[in-house]
Amino acid sequence: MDERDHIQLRVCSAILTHHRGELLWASSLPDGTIDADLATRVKSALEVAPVPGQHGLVRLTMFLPAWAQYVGQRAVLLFPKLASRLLRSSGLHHQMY
Amino acid sequence: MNTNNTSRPKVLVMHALRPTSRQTTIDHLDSFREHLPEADVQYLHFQQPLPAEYENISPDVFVINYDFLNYRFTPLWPFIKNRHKKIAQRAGKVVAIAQDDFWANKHLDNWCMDWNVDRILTPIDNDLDVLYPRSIKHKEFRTALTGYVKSGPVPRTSLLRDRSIDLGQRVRDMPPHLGRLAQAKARQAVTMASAAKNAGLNVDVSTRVEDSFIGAAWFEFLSSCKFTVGMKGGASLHDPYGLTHTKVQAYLARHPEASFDEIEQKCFKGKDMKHQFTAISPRLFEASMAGTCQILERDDYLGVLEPWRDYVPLNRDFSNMDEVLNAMRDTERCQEIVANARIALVDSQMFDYSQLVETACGGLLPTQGGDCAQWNDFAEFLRFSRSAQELAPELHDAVMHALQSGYDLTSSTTAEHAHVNRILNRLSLSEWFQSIQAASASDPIGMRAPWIWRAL
Repeated sequence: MDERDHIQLRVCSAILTHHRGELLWASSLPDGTIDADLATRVKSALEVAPVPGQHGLVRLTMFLPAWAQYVGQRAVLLFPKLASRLLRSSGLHHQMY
Repeated sequence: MNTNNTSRPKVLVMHALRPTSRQTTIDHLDSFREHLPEADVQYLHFQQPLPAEYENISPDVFVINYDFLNYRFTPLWPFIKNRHKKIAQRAGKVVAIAQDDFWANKHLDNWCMDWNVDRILTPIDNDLDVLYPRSIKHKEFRTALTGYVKSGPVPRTSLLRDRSIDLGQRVRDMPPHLGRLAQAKARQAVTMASAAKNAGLNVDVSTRVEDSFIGAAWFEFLSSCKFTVGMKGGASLHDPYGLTHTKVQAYLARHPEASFDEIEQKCFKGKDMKHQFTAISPRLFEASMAGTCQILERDDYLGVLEPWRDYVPLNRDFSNMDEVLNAMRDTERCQEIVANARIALVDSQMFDYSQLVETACGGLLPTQGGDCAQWNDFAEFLRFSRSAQELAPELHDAVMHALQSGYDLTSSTTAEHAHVNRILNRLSLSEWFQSIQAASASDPIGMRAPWIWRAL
């Protein structure tokens, strides 16, 4: 694997996870560093990538009492698909709990 | 697959390494393989998808590291606390290495009982009956440090007189839910820095996260400082289920500028400072290896450091600040203090990682390993995973992200999937991918914790 492969794989990870920070890095790469189809995918992923901490539902839960948050956070995880969707759409999956 | 059965004792270490894990955690884990040459040591990441047949392996000693146990602070804990419990039930002995015991300790205590842990290692040596009300009666407790000296040659460092920074330190502002004691470290560093600056010294002290150094850069920084300032780390707030933490987080989200006193009033009034849980920081050893003179709060440090012989003592109330500042100008005397500290902490070999391994596994390893037909296949599976990651961490990450998103790389047509699949084929890693994919299908942990793990 050469340097270009490593960079392209990192870009793939960024697209797969909608990681805003990584996507911004990918979009700042000089033209030609990555394949054209990947560059297009970076642009479209960046449009929908979440800003961590700005997710409406996550902000809303911050106004709940602590016990409700404590129970709610655990209750969501009872449903892995819902948990995955919430984590990814909020950008929280790039952070520790 | 290799079918030879080995008679070496088998040690399995379960961990939770992430790409951003601290070097101390990696050194800590590595030490088991380094200091148990007579045993076959394997590392299992708790998140790694594992084919069902390997749940039947039976190591002689099963070590569970603190980075896994620290998930008890998170909502994920109820879903992972019994991860690989079957292996623990079949293991000869189970050892738990705990840290930050004062936080969510009820979860930890209950877990130790449920898993039938034989030995618990903790950096805390006081109030264990408060932290482990159930386990204290049944389990063996041993004290372990949060960091040790890495074996091998001690790096060469410059003399104090040749260093550019007079006082240097990086301290994190600890979150309020750990109590007033946890705030003391940052307060000490800031007060010392302010006094040194006023005395005309060159100071580089910061509590901001963005100023922190990662990996080798931290040691380089420390090696360029004449002095550093520190104390034991710890907490003074007992938070048995982690609920105070949630309360504080919620309050801070609504009042981001709230002071510690305000948060205390609103979230844990009257609960702080009832206990003091303190532990030695790994920085004690790092500073000594870097040849940096330590200004430490006057305290007992492992019973081996003497004030004015091995460190410059600073009173808790800063009442001897002038004396400390005067001592900082006497470079010859401080160079002697550096040499004495190095003898006590590094050259004595009393605190290298072999001590951790001895504390964890001493007296538990059989002279000959038990019969376990699947162990070698299991070890080879782990090696395969590790080598795929070593070849290209980016490839490992991309594959795991795709699996956690529920994509089949081989059939998906988007550019990123096709690209990852192409490289997998080129590197002949399709077999590894298929085994990981099959194990992931029935393993929802990745969907609940979709960050990326690291093998060791």
